[in-house]
Amino acid sequence: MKFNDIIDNPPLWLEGDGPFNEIVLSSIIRLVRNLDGYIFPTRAKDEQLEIISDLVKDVVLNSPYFKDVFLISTIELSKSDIDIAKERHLLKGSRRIMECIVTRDEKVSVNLNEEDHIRIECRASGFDLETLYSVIFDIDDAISSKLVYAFREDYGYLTSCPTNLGTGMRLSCILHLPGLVLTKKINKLLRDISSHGFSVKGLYGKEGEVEGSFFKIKNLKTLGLSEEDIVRRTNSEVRAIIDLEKKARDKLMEEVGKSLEDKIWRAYGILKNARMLSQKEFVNLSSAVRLGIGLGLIDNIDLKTLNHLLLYTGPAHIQRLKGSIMDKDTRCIERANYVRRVLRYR
Amino acid sequence: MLCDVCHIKKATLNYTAVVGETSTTIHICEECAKKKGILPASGFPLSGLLLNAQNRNLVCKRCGLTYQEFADKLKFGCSGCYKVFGNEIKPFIEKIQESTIHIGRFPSNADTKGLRKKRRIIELKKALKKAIDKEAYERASEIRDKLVKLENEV
Repeated sequence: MKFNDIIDNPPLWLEGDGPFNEIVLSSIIRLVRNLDGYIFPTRAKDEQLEIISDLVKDVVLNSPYFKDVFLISTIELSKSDIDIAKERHLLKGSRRIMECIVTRDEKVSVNLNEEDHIRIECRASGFDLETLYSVIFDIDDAISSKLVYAFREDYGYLTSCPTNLGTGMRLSCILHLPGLVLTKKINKLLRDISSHGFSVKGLYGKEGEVEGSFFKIKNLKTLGLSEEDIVRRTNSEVRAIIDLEKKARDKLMEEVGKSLEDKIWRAYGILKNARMLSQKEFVNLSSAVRLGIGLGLIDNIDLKTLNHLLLYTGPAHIQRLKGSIMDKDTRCIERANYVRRVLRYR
Repeated sequence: MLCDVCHIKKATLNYTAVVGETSTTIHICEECAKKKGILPASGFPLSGLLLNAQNRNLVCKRCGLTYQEFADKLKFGCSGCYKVFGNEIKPFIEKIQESTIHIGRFPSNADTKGLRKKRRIIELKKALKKAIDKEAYERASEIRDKLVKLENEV
């Protein structure tokens, strides 16, 4: 499999299906692990990183979850391909030598030598942490049956950053919460969530800004709780947010239904006709259309198409369409062309 | 609330710092803040709170990380760092994780005999309490025997 084979096909976790798909875009679970006796990547020499990479690859590539995989290596990829891999969440950070073993559908990946030796990540469309939980520990068990993890009785799995100690497990969900944003209930909710040991941040937009009402929620504490506890708590926190969002959407329809419907269709109209679209504008307009789908107001476009557009209109993906580095205006033109092309066939 | 540094005086200043993916708040008294050279406008120099004259020169022999470097970047260099900096980092870990005891899974091939026993003791203590609450004294006595045996082994 080549890198282009991966990039040409949208990841399965953006299919737009799964439980509560009108609110939860995707669920992600990740574990970080280090090998006992080896220096962590942040201080290891290149030859040590190579040994770790060979050891882990040998085990992972022989496990049943990794039959049809692609190996991404920052050493072999161009700068623009690395940016694409980052937009698809396949690479993280800016270390010189990093690798990622990813399945064709991009639902499972194992990253090597980022901040920690191993980062296992599983993704699903919609709200489905339980399925991911069983998959990720199958992979973790397969690795730990062959290699010895750095582990201590008191601190659990030892990690480079003390915020990952213990279970090394982070659960996250990408949520679309326009109802709570429009009814101005979001700020109180964000404060409440933080006090429950979770972090919520806007998915798009600069620090402190939120574009398109997309949020990423994740657990903060990784030590002193069992993995089951973390899953249970995250599940109940996200379920509570889903219920609040549903209520807020009902309220909006009741109070300003017609003007909301008008805004949604206008957003759709702009997406179908714009000649220049910044990423920020696309995220906001597609957010309105997404709300329209959730409310049953619009049915000539589906969540899957919107999800794919979100990914393929990212700066690195747009640049790839032309195969050359573009300035911002050219990217806006290409983005608008691309969106019009996709929506024309809907 | 008492100062997180001296644990004697009342904390009058709060500092919130972002560490990796999480944030933590430290409550500190004015005198300790002064000693550590912390001014409210300068944000939260966590390294100032972690470092003191004794630990500043600690070095992990395996990876070469100094405690000063850890305090600056808040990243460990290897599993050995946890041993070398053990006593110094415990309050810090407790602060950001609100715990210093792992109760989750453990690797199947790790040497965790002691851990398994400790966890069994916790389970047995819970079972003992339950048995006594239910006035099932015969069962309670059985559990107590097992507990004593396990505790002696640990």
